[in-house]
Amino acid sequence: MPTKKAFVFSILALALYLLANQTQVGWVYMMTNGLVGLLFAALFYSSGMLKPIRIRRTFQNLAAHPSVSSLLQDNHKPNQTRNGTPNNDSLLNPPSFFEDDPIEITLEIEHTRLKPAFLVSGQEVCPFAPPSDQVQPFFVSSLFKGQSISLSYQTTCHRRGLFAFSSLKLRSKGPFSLFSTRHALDAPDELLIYPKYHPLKRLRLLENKGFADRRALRVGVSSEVIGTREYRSGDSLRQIHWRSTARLGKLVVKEFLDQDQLTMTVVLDLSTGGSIGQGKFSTFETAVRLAASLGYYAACQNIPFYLAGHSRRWQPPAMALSWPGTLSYLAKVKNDGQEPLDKVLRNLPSLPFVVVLAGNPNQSISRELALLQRKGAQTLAIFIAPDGALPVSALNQSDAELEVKTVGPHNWAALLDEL
Amino acid sequence: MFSKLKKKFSQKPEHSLTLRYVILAAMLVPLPALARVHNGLWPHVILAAIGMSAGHWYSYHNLKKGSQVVRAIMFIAVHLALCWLFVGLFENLTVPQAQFAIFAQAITSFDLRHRSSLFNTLIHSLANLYVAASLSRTTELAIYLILFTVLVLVAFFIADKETGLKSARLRPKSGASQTSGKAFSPQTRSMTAFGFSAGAIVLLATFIAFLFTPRFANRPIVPPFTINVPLRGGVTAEIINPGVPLVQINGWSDEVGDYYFGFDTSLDLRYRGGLSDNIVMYVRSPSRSYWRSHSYDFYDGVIWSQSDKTVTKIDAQGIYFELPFPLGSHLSQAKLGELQAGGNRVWDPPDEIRHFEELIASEPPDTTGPNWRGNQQVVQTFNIVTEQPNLVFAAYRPTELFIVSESVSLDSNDGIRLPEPLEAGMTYSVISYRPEFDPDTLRQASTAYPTRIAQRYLQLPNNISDRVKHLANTLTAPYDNTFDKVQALNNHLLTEYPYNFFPPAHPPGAEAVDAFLFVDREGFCEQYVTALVVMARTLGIPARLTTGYGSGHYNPVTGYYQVRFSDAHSWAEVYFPEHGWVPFDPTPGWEPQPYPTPIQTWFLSDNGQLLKQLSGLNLPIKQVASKGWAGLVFFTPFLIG
Repeated sequence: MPTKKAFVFSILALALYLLANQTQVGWVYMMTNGLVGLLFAALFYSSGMLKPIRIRRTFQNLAAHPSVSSLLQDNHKPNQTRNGTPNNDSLLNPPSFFEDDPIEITLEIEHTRLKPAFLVSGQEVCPFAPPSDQVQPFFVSSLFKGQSISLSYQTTCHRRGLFAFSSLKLRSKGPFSLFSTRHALDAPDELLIYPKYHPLKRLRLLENKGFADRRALRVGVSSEVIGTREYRSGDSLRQIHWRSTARLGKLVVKEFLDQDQLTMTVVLDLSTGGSIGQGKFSTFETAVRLAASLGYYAACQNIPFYLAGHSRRWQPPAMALSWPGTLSYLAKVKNDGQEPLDKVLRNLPSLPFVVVLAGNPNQSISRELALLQRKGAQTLAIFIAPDGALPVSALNQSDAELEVKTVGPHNWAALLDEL
Repeated sequence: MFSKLKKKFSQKPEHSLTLRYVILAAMLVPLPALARVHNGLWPHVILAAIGMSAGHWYSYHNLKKGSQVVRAIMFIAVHLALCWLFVGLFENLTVPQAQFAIFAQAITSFDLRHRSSLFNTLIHSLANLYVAASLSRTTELAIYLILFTVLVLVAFFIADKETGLKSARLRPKSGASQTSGKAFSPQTRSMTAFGFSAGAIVLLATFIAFLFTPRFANRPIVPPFTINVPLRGGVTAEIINPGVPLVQINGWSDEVGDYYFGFDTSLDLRYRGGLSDNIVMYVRSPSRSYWRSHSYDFYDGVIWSQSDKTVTKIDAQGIYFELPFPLGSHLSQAKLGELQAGGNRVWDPPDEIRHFEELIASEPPDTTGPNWRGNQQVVQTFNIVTEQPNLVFAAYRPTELFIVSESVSLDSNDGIRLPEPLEAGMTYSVISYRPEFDPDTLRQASTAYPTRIAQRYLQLPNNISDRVKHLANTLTAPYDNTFDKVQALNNHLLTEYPYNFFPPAHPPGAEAVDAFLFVDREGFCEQYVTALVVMARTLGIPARLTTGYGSGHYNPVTGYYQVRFSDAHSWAEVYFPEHGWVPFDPTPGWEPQPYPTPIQTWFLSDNGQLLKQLSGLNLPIKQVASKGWAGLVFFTPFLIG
């Protein structure tokens, strides 16, 4: 598309041409022809100028996560991920990006053809950045074949989730600002951002009950296979589940039912009505963060960790989750279920230790919690309210023995320290 | 609403020093271009350059708000410059229009706070370049045009680059910078390579556009002329040639000079002498032609002169002279004869023009003869470089003249006289109607010559030898019409006699034509022409010797014909009833057609002739060009075959 300058050039050329015909001055014809030649040259350079551009993104986490490194397996990877294709080794690598982490994104821009590109401007839309920071305009003055330019920007990982970058909109006015051209460049990238968690070291509620001693050191004597888990030092090689090992690329063993084995089960309200508020400070998001913190504790203490809930797309796995698995699940989960929390609780089997995270507590949930407790399960109920205050209507009069903790979206970490 | 408009049109000050430097450089480029084409402009150019630089400095240091006092001073200064323009026009100052343009730009440069103002002033600079282009007669202007173009494009690039970098939020990764200007870095090398390649592409595209741009030779509203002290004086039959040496040498001379003996009251064939290559004038014309001055009709064996020295005065209508008839047409002689019946008659338009139109109306319709007006108007502009005789040089057949002179006069041989010699620096314009002479039509012309024509243009001295007459008869024996006979004589002279600017000295007492044809058998243009005219007259065909300048060397870039002293030339004119005087040139090595060529419009314009000469191939370039694109399609099989 011709720019305003091109129209001015055309008008000048026409005016000069008319003057040249009037005066028959050869130089004025030359000036007219020069303007026309310039327009043709500009058109030549502008056409298809943006198509040979290639862009590659890299992500760098600017925050350190020392607590993560303690959970690393044998192969330690640096705290940077190169993105683009799904990383099959993500479970081996330590999780890299968490909510509210500062992140630096670098665009490496290169040109693959001999005809250079000039005055290229574009917009990078970062889907996980805060709303005010999502649109990141950039500009490259010149791009030649064989030379690449790296541009970077810093932002924060505003929300957890799996985010995909849309195509980049490039535009340019060419080297002489006479013809503008546009191009949508596909630069597919995905980034998984894990939920924020509090590195919970102690859970007195659990430890005071003496359950820590009952931590299983080896696979239970029962023959009932209740699932699989990652290999731990000391496990028998005969219990290796080869199919899962081949699929996951790491050693996985069968887990047998051990009625004495301590496990931690976190129940999430994944129903659509199980959350109050919107955005990253909704009660559901707080529940996810709490679940991640509890999962961290369980991983540190080698306690099999389970998640429970009912969701259409994000049904929690039946097996015990490793720490990376927990994070991976919690990064993507959404509350799209139909079954309310009280029904989920009613269907729960007898479990050693259950933490119930209620994003929208009510009397039905309280009733089921009380029943659960009477069954003998050690239950910790955490009610999450937008203002952090226990909703009075959520409790029944007969639930005096029910131990309930209340937390808000902004003080959940402090509560964990008290537990 | 006012605040919305104010917000819409409010502009931010331009802080970029780099951009300002580039634009200042672009503004300064046209100044030396103007001074180079007109040396008298150097003081003005230097003053304007200082003014522009000071204005830029002031604008940059007063970005926030313009001073009302300064604006008032600028307003007054521009009007003073305008007054200076009018003074210059009437006081014959050096190109006053160019002075005003550069002074106005210098004054307005004190208010270049915004980017749009900076770019708008480049249009002003383009206008200055246009003035330089109009005055330029050499290819040196190309340097300034290229430099200006490069600076403007660099300014565009810098402006967009700075705008882009300002709005960008992404920054180069540490250690790399988009603006780092390391000398000979890969980026610098790539940019340099791009500059050269882009320049080559622009030049190629410009050249292709130049070849294919049609040139329509429109009649200008007012053809160019210089307003200067008018040529004063009344009618004069005398030809004043300022180049005449104090001592005229009759006889052989190997010196070159700036005096052509053909621009005089008489032409002596015994004179020998070279002509320098100094430029006489620049001619702008849409078609190639000889620039005719006047003719001689009386020949005494060695000297040509004019038998009738009366002239007819034409008074000016301002700077415009409308000639009563196209000089050289068959009507001119009839009308001139009537006018001069009373002697040195004063021509007093418009009454006589009306009478002339009645004369045309009373003429019997001629359905076979050519249109005496011709099909194309040829507008020529003559820029005199070296002082010239009081003769108006023009392409055949002139009808209108734009010159600052109190009067002009017509002589009896279709020449235009001025009261004073042409001064160096003068510019005048002539509009001619290009005649079309179709050989088949000329072959059918009658031989019933008017008495006045026969009396003057069949005159011969008594000493024309028999062998000259015999040669004429022998050469024309196979032909039964005037045109073919003259062509036969013409071709004989073209092919049988080599050109020599310094032939042997004329033998005393010998008749010039006999000596040329049978003794020397070589010579210069006047001898060829004299031979043709004399031989034609021996056959009863009226003919005369005409002098002027050849077309000169054409520069397709400037559009000028560069006419030098060495282009001074003579050729013959032969009379055909109902057609008037038809030029012939028997001198080898000159243009075959002394009258204007068809005006080329499409496809290579006049370069078709250049291509033909360059390639050495006798391709019908001109025929193709004259037919436009349809001609190219039609003639392609012939070109290939």
